Formats: sequence, structure tokens, C-alpha cells
Amino acid sequence: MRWATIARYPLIASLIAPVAALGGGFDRAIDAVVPRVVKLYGLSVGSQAGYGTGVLVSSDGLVLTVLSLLIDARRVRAVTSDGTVYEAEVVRRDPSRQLALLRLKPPDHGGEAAGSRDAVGPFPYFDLKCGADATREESLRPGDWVIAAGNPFKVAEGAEPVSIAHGVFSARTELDARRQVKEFPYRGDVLVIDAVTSNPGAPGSAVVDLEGRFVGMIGREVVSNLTHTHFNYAVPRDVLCEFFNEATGAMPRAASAAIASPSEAAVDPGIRLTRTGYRNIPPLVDRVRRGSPAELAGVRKDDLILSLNGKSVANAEEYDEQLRSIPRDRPLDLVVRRGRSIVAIHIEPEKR
Amino acid sequence: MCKRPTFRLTLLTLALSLEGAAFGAVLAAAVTIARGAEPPDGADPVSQAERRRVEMIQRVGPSVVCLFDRNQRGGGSGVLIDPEGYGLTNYHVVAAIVEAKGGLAGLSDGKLHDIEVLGTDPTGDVAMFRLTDAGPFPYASLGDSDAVRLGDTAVVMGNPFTLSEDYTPSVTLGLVTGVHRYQKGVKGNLTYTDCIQVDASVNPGNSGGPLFNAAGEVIGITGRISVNTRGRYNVGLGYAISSNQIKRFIPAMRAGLLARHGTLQATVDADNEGRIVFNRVAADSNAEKAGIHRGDRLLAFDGVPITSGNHYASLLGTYPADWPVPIEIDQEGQRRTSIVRLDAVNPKLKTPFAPDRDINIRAVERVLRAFAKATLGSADARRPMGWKWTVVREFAQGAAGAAKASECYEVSQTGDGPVRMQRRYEDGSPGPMITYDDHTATQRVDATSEAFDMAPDVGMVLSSLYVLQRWMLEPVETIDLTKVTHGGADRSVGEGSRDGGILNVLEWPVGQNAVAKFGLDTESGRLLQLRVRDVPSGAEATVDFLDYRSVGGITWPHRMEVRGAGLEYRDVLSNWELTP
Repeated sequence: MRWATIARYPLIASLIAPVAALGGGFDRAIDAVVPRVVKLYGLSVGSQAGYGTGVLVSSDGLVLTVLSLLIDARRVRAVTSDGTVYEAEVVRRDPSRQLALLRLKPPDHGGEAAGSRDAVGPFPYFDLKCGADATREESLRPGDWVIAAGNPFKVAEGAEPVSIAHGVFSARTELDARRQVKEFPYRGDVLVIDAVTSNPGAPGSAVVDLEGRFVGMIGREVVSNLTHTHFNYAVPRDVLCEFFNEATGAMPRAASAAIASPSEAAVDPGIRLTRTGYRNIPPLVDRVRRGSPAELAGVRKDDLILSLNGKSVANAEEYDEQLRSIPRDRPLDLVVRRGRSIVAIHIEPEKR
Repeated sequence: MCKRPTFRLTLLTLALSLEGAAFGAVLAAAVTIARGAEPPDGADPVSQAERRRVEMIQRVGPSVVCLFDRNQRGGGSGVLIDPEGYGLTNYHVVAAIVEAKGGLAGLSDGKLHDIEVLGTDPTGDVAMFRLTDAGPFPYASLGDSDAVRLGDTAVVMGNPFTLSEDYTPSVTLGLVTGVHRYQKGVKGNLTYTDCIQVDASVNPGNSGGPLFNAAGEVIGITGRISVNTRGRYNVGLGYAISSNQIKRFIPAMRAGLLARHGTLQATVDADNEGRIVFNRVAADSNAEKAGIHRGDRLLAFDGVPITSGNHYASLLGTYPADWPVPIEIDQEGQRRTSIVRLDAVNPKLKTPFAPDRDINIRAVERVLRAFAKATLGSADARRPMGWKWTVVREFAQGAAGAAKASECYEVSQTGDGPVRMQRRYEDGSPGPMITYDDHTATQRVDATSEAFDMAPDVGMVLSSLYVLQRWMLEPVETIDLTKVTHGGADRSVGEGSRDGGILNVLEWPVGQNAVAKFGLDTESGRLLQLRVRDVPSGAEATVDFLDYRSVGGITWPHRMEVRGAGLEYRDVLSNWELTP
């Protein structure tokens, strides 16, 4: 039968490796990962879970997690592995990669002196190793064990250790979720894992190898529109690094970048799109900066962007993402819908 | 403690999904490859470990049973825990499939057996059943779930999606992915406290089946999973009721009783500094009677330091009602430990399984046989006709009525006659004598020379000793078991140990209004404890039996410590004489 052939290949890896682990081979990974994740609690909207997971990536309390509604709460709470409750403030959002960076602050008890309020930590954390020489994590090979640690279904509370899951790293591949699955803007590389990690609260879980080295973070839920199956994957460490560097200004080129402004390396024609939420917003021009290349080229408010340099643009996230990959000295070719007509606009780059 | 709901796993209507089919296929492939991948020499550690696991699964697999109702619709799983065919499953499995107190169990040899549901534990979602055919049957041993650590190997066996046509269990392998978990129940029932979380696949139909450790010991019973909006099947979070909790309820379930969980009727909360403080203590609860007040700090529950309200609730849920638990508190700066007997959770709880006297008597007989074996070495050993001992009674310092430091008695009994307790003065001359005759339930004080100041509990203790001697002297077959009731479980706290062993409780009416509860160790069969309570007065005495030694082929305690009803003394037995 056909399934037998399919089933065998992943199993060969998964049968040999677990016996190596029977004698406690996962201990190192578990010991390393459990104290380095935090339980997050925030806004709950509809079927969206109001809880999640984050990964500590600095000793002073920077936490990586996924972009979700929960971090839009007025107060986001983060609980470390020793049960201490912190408030988490959003430092940076990345709609194209669907990531967010938070900073832990002392809980607001009201009467404390303002001066000492921001000092927290030191925390145990994962060093993302995002230096200039950061390369892809080559140590992880298909068939290797990985451990994910997070708080699916918020099973753990307070100081209780988070849940773990074990699985096999199957492949590093590109996630092009546009055609068949729910709208999902991230199109970068993902680590495919055979453990069930796509559960409420699990996005933001840390993924480590058997040695306890950080290899990635569980991303947002991706569900196929055709089969309703969930895709179990992690965002690789190097992709997290790109975001982390942008957010913290650690990369040499972006050294002076203010934390909330777009990368300086990318082109900026001066178009602001309508922002109403996160998912599937049409790329509708909300405002055109005065004197910007876009204004000079004739882009107007309420233009709907259809394509950029020949590539179709489905939503605002895609527009942001495509812009990011275009150097600032390149011209842009837009096709927009204006009322009932289709208009092609050529934007010359800003002269320096 | 508000959790996302989890769902029970009974498979009432079989809907064999694609996932289920693929899942079975994966298992089949797993077994094939596990055997095929073994190199000829098998010397490398990976192959050795793999072989050990395959051997373990083959060894314990036959203990796993598939449970069905009489029409063989739907079903769950179970595991046999002794060769006589006693087994464990989930309460929700028997509640769903065994309305008429009957059902079927399929064993991996392909044979179906009738089952009888014994006792149930609806609060903890556990039930006990028995194969009604004669054994011996394959079985698995219960392991120590407190030794389970995050990352340990977890092997789940059962009948997910009722895939198995020949009753061989499906096997799934994973890790222990959480320990000491709390999963809220429904109206106080089906609560999973201090449970074990695994990422081995657990699916509908796995309910009631065992969770094994790498050594093949049962460390839990799987009965719950977290589910997503996708559907009611495995998403990587399964939960098992821990074996150490189940062990505490087995005596009651084996005896066909409704097992009741305990509560302190007191809740705790963390204060601003993270200390755990009682914020409510119910009036008339045992906790209040033990002097625990609102505002007291809870330091340790049964020797375990409490870290959160969740932790306390989770731990508390693993104890049966009426169990003595040491509670360490800080009361206005004073540390003290009180032993509190837990009140019953949900006292109005009812079960569709009415207590069955035949099941209870079978459990009584089983306990008495174990007692005879522990005392005489074997159940068929020759029993003495009578006995006599010298008792030196040492009074506790400052105890009521303790004018003297010690008194000496001779206690004796022959055949079926009364128990005599003869006082001896220091010069050897006889003092007053108490006689207790169980046939007439009378107690006579023969005080010749001085008024005998007898405390009310002495008679109760004496009459209980009479019963005890009958159990020792008579073969089990001749004992009138109809007078004895198996009262479930208790625990020995005599030696001040944290968990001094789980006891089977046998109840015997003493005299007109008193009840004696004998606590016999579930493991050794020895008598460790006696509680006698005079119902009208409420007077209670507790006797701990200690210092077991073998004299004349009979293993017997050489120290008794009696507490309660105003008396505190220690009886030291010596000069054993047995009449052959």
C-alpha cells in the first residue's frame, strides 16, 4: 500500500534516534530550554487564545514572540520559569515576518519609585548569535531530534515548567503559503518538524537541538484551506536574527536605526498604507508624503496597489515585504487601481 | 486554575478517520522496522536500547485489554494489575459502556472475557474491574509515579479508534512532557490532579489504558487529551492519572466501594510576598478542629513545601477522604504540624454502581489471607490454640491518669474464650482483672483489692484485640466474614513517616455501639493500626502496632502505642507464650 512507503522514511530516523534518548538523552535540551521561555498572557479575541509563549533572548529581558492579538492588550503579562510576573512592553512588530520583540518590565505595583522600575534580570537567555558573521544554522540536519518548549493550552501556570514536545527536524524549506492556505504573509525559510506544535498558545515556543542549542521558534498557526491540516514548523534562528538585528540596531549597517523605523537600506517612496489590523489588509494608499518620490510620480490617496515591479501585491504586508528587498537607488514600477481605471506609475528613486 | 477544556476519550461511536488509519499504518510500520533494523550482532548501544524496548513492549503488552460493552460497540482500554484478573480503567469508560455492570474485555491472545465492575472513583476518573473467568492472567505492576521526570520515556498502550480487531494493543512512544499537572474536572468529578503529561499519541479509545515507563511499569492511566478546534484527537498533549494516586484508592475500589477524595475544606492564596496563606477555613471542618485559622501560612502539605495555590489543589486532589495528612503551618510566628484527617469532597456524590456485598466480602477474604500469611508465614501454617503475653504499660509523661510510670499486665486467651487482662503488682501479686467476652459483648471488671480506674477506651481496645486474635487463630474459612466489612483505604502515620504505607481497612462492630477499624498494610499484610470509636460518646482510641518480631514461627508486633480518649501509653509486649 502506498502509505507504507510514505510512512517508512520519516520513521527510520525517528526509530533510531529515540533509543539513543531512552537513557535520558533529552535531559540536556530540556534543562536548557525550560528556563528560557516565558508564559505570555494578553488580549483574547474570539477564537484567538489570550495566552502564548516567548523566548528570552537577552539577560535584561528581551523576549521574542510571534505577532498576535495577545500582545495588543493594554497589559501583557509575562511569567518566567520561577513564577515571577512581569509586564511586557512591545518594542517592535514585524508584520512581514509575523514576529514581535517584547521587553520585560517590573510588574506595576503602583507605589514604586520610578527610578528603579526598569531594571530587571539578569535572566537566563538564548544568545541568538546575530553578529555580522551570523550564518545559517548548519548543524541541524534532517532526521535530528528537536525539542520544543512552550505553553500550549496554558497547561502550565506560575512556576510550573512549560510543556515540551519532541520531534524530528524534517527539512528546511521555503514557506509559500499563499496559494493553498489561509492568508499568511511570511514567505521565508521554515524548519519543518514532525511533532504537533501547531496548538493554541504554542507559537513563540523555543526549539532546541539535543544539545540544547537554540535553532528556531514556533511560528504562527498555518492551516490549509483545503485539508484543514496544520503545518508544524519553526522560524529558523537566522531569520529571527534578521528581525532581532533590525529591532535592536545590532547590525553594523543599521547601527543608528531608531527602533521603530523601517530599515534604512530599503527604498522608501513615501507611501503610507491604510492600517486597520493585521491580516489581509488591501494595499490601499492612505497618505503620500509631501515632496516624496511617490508624490512626484503622481501616486494619490486611495490608490489600490496591484503590483510592484511586476509582482502582484495581495495585501499591505506583501507590499512592505517586497519594498524591503528593493535597494533604495532603484526605480519602482507600480500598477494601481484608481476608481475604475488601472494606472501604471513609474517612481524614480530619491536623489541623494 | 481556569483551563481550556479538555475532553474525555471514550469512543462511543466509532468514526474511523483518515488520521486514525494513517496512525495505525505508522504503528505497523514502526514494529516492522524496529525488528528489521536490528543488526545481527546487536552490540551497539542503540540496538541494545531498542531491543530492550521491544522486549518490554512484548512483555507487558498482554496486560493491556480492550474494553467493550456487551454489544461490542465503542470502547476503551484497561490494564490488568494482578494475575487474578483485577484491572484498572477510567471511570468514564465503565460509566459509558457498562451500564448493566457487565461488559467485555478482549485480551491480546484474541479471547474475550466477561468483566465485572468493582469500585469506582468518579472524582479521579478511575474504576476497577475484574475478569470473571479464572486466571492466571498476564498483568503489569504499578510503578512509582513520583519518580517520573520531565523527558522520561513514555509508552502508551491501548485501543485508539478501536483499531484492534484481535485485541492486541496499539503502542505509541513519546516523552513525559509535563509532571504535576492539574486538569480541571466537571463539577468536581473527572479531575486530573498531579497528573502526568505526555506527547506520545493518545486518542479516543486509549481511555483507561496504561502509561508505561521504560521499565514497563504502569505509571499512569491515560484518559484525557487537550484538543484543538480541529477535532477530538491527539495534538501532542495527553494526560495520565498518576499511579501513586491510584494506589491510594485501589483498596476501596477493589472492595466495590465508591472511592471518595479528600478535602481540607480550606483554600489558600499567595499573598503579596508570595507566601501561601489560608484565606478560608470552613466552619466545622477537620482543619478548623485541628486549629488551622484564616491567615495562617501553609508551609508544607504532607511534607511537600507548597509553592502555589495550584500546587496545593493539585496535591490535595490525590488523597482519599478520611486520610491523615500532616499539615505544617506558621501561626503567628509559631511553626507547628497537625495531622488532619481530610473531609470528603462532594459528599453527596452518587454512583450508578451500588456497593456490592459479595465484592466486599471477597476483598475482606483477600486481606485476611494476606494477614494470615504475614503472621504465620503461610496461609496453611498450623495455628496456635491460645496465647499469653506480658504487657508492660508505660504511661506518657504528664498524661492524664498517669500517677505511675508503668503498670504490668498479663493478657491471655484460649481458643474461643474471653480475653483476660490480669494486673500484676511489682511484687508479683495479682491485681484486678478485666475480662472481655465477645460472644456476649460483655466486659467484666474483677476488682478484688482496689478500685480499678479503667478508661472507657480500654474495653474497646481489648475487644478489638479479641477480634484480632480470632483472625490469627482461626483459618480464614471458619471466620464469620459477614461481620466484617472492607472499609477502603487508610494510611499509617505511626512511625512519623511521610507516607507510612497504604492500609486496607477492615471494620468490625465491637460491643453495642463501637466500631473497630483495623488497618492492614497493603504490601506486607501486617496489622499496623487500629482505630476504635465508640459511636454514642465519640470517644476514639488509636493503636499503632510496631516492632514486628518473629516468635515461635509467628510474626507479631512487640510494641503497641495507644492514643486517644484521655490515655497516652505504650504497651510493650514480652514473654510470648503460644499454646499449641
